[in-house]
Amino acid sequence: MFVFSLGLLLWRWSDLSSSYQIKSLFSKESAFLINNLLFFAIFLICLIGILFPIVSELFTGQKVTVGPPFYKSATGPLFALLLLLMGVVPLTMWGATTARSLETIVRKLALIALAAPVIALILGVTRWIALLTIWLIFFAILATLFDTINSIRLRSRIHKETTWKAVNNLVRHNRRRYGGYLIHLGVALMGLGIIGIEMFQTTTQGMVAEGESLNLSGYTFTYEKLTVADTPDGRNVATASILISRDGKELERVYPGSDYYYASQQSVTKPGVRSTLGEDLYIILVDWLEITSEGATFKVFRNPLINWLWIGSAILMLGTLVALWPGREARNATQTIKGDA
Amino acid sequence: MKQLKWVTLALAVILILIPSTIVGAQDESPITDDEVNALAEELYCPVCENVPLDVCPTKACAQWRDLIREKIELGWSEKQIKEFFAEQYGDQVMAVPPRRGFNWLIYVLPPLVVLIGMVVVARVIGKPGKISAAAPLVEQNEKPATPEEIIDEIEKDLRRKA
Repeated sequence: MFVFSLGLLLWRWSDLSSSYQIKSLFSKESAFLINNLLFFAIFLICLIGILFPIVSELFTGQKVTVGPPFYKSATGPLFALLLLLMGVVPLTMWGATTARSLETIVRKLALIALAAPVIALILGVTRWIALLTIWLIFFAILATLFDTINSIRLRSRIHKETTWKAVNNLVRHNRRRYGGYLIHLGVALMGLGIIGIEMFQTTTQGMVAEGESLNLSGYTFTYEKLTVADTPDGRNVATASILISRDGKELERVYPGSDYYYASQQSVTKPGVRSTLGEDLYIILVDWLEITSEGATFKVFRNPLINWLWIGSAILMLGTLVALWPGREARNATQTIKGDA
Repeated sequence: MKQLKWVTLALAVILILIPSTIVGAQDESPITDDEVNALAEELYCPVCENVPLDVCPTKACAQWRDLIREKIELGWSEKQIKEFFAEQYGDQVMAVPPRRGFNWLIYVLPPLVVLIGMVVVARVIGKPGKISAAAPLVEQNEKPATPEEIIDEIEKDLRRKA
């Protein structure tokens, strides 16, 4: 299949060449081309990572594992470049943009976006890679908002429309552009969630007796009790009660547990979760002493900013809907064709 | 008989002391689960494919985690422990292939892919096309078409194709 597709591609290579010449490196066309290069490179690197264990076994007879560290180090810089590109693209023009005109606005926005890593540094973030990513994320958000607000103000002034009407008309007349901007915002917010979980996740595991506590990142998790009971539907349900507190102040009581299904002889873990906009706390009941139920092992995760991943995903889906929603012109054209037929 | 009594008493004392010594040693183990997991998450279960050792639920993996704990207690370094596991169970227990022999391919290919891509992009930008993007789409003297005229043209085309 791969060889057939490649053959077709090579056969029609001359037909696929663009009829336009890209004259400036700073034009929107160039940005799209570089964007495609980055996505294609990420795709190829992932493909190499997936296929390498098979190829290695084929040629050397030795199995190898290609785990997350490979993907993180190989694709991380490319994702950072994508974030940078997401910030630059709204500021470029079709055809040609001069380096000087682009530089002025990029410099201004990049300087303003610098406030985000500075605040993060003050709050205690010291890893340079996290600071750089936060800067790129806020640069992309600022550039997208800058271009959108500029367009709204311009339309509002020229057509003498209210802000809301200007927004409505702008989006209706250029769904793909503003849908794309929403997708950019969604991806940038998702980036915050990814930084949180990849760079600042903390975890601990330990066995504690009833009344004892585990500590993680300033939180105290006190194991209160464990109940184990059979249910009429053929399950053995173990539920622990954990009190989460911070600086002596009780925050929430969560109930991590595990359901054992006698029929299938399978266990299902049910984590206890405390979720806020800033971070999530996950508590997993790993094991417990069957006879006395006095001691149990818990694994605790603190996932900072993780909810921004879900908020960003929702915005990304909204952006996709806006971009794909058929406009009035498309509906009219369809109706005309139907009428003529 | 007297000697036997003493031996029995000594044995009883030993039997009482041994379990409490073991429990005491377990309680006072300086190695925490977190230290073991920090290393275990960088190793993979040799039996279940693609499952990191720190989250693997099998009994074999629990034993391997205990083995890591023992090695840390003996003062082995992180590198020594990883090499020990690689020697015992093969390179597949390492999260990334060790940099030797055929494995170098996976470290060389990603930068090569990006480099080739950059060369292609550099060649495309500035390459003369059939029509220049900067060239006007209409003749200078010709009046540019209004959006309505363009839509009419498209609709005519669509009707023709229908």
